[in-house]
Amino acid sequence: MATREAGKKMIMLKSPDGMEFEVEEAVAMESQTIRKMIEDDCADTAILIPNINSKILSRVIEYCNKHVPTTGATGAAASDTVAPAALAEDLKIWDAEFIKVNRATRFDLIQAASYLNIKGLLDLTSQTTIDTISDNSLEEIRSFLSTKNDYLPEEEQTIRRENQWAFQ
Amino acid sequence: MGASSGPRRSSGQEPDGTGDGADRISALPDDVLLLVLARLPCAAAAARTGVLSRRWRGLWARLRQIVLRDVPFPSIEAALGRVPPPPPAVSLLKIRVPQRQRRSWGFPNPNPKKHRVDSAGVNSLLRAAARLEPESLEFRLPAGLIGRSRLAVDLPRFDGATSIALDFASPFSLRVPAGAEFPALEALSLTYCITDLDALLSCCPRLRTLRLCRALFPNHKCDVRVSSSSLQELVVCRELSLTQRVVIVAPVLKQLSMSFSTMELIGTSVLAPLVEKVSWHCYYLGPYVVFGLWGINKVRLRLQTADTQEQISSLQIHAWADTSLLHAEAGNFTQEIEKHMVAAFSVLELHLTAKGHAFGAFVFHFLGMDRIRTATRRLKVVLERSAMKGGCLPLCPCEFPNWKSQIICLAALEEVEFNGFEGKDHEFDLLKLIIGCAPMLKRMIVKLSQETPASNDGCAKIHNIFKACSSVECDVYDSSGLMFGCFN
Repeated sequence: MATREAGKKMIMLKSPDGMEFEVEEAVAMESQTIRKMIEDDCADTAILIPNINSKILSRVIEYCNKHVPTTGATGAAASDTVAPAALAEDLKIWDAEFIKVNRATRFDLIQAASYLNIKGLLDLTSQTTIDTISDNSLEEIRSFLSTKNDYLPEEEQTIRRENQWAFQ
Repeated sequence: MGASSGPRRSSGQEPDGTGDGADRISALPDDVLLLVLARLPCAAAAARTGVLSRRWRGLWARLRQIVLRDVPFPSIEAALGRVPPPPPAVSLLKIRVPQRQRRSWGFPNPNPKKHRVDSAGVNSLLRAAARLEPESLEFRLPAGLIGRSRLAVDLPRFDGATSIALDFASPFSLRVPAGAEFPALEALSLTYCITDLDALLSCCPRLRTLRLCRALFPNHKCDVRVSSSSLQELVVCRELSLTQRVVIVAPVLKQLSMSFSTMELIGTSVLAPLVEKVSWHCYYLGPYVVFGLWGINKVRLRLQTADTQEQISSLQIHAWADTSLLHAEAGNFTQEIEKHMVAAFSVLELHLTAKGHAFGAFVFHFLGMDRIRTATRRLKVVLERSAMKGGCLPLCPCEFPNWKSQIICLAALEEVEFNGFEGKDHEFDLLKLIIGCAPMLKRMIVKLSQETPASNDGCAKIHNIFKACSSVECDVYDSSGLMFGCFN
């Protein structure tokens, strides 16, 4: 574990394609998965993040950097001068910009947020999918998710009948 | 990493493009898809995804946080029937029966007429819910679905439940099967419930939080009786139902929130020696507690000692003056006020709607009550504005004889705030009397009413009063909050 600046612990995160990212411990601990590793002392040198390529991992770190709470010894001044409401508004705008990615990237981010257990990022990345599933017809949902209907017509009717309560 | 400017997009990515076009979401592991499905507002939307493709079939039923808010009442049981029982444990089952049916999802509606909910239906649904052994159960039933006859609900066993909330929109009676136990139950919320509370609480050995809204108590309809050796938080909201008596026996209670109305004198008995936080509201719906021409319409007690930031402990009394009250039949005034002193206090707030009447004697009567006299460190008198003025005629009974010559010892009083000061003689008399009776008084704040212009004459009067006692600092503000004068 390297240290940079006064009192700031650094953590090395490695993606399976060999990239290394040095991040502040507080930023990495936005991920509950990494937090647990650190708290259980399983994070001596570098943490390998499986299944998340460097492109996605760098975006995740970008998100965590922005969302790490600004309270505490170093950030106290910042939170004193900026009103919490303004800060939240700024974050919302930033999030909206952050999530302007194509679907493939969004689904990769969902998976990364899920593995790393970052609740805010999972909420953000899955919101469009949730809205689509809540408010659209099955055909529209299939088209949005690029899901092909692989049921036989009679099979589909059976499933519908089983879940008739959900279609009322 | 450091720099966190705005997020940038790598080139070649179109925000709304389909990426590589493959069905990436179906490739996600079940756990991830379940996390997404769990974020849907209603499990019906999750269940509909089962029709998308084989990949999604039956996935929703593995949700362990089940929220049903768009599903019409007659279909809810069928929905619960599709969910396999634990393990793994169902952490939440939340049923909010919609008032009306929502739009149809392309399936013919089997029975378009409005469904009434009856006792058998509710009990059957509760048994279906109990099969899933939820850790937390929330069941909300709206008014429009409940018929005229009172629902009779039998609560089945929920062995693993730590939290149960039955919030119905009209009165229902609740029965617990003989010998039932709710061994894990820590929080219980009941709205419009009529039940033998003693019997219910005796099957909940670990209950910590009890919330009763609009609760009716079967044998003593106007009584609130709660007795529990485990309860730490009790919330009773009964503004809309009349209460005659409040009896609470809760040796480890930390938080108490009571609000109720009454149309007569009340009886209270609160045994909660460890209480740290109290919010007590009593509304009198008529002149039942009267002193002279003053009637009490609201008594509020607030105590907050758990938070170290600011300790609040105040007794707030709202009263109005009316000559018609002189002949009202009333109980012992002091005794009635003391019934609300269910916890210690150090601030006395009097909110008075005087309608032009003198209030000095009334305020002084309060200060003379033993428990108020010894406890009050801060007194705040607020004169509420009232459109009705001039009710006070010569020889009005609001001028009690001899009150100005009384002597009491306000040993604890350190600060007095007077809001809405009008500069009348009896007000100056009151200030003078308080200063004379309060040896520890340090500060007095006088805020003039909107109609009272700050005058040199009035200032001179206050100056004269405070000249005599240099230990008291007095600040006078006009109605806009500007400091008009500071004495000593």
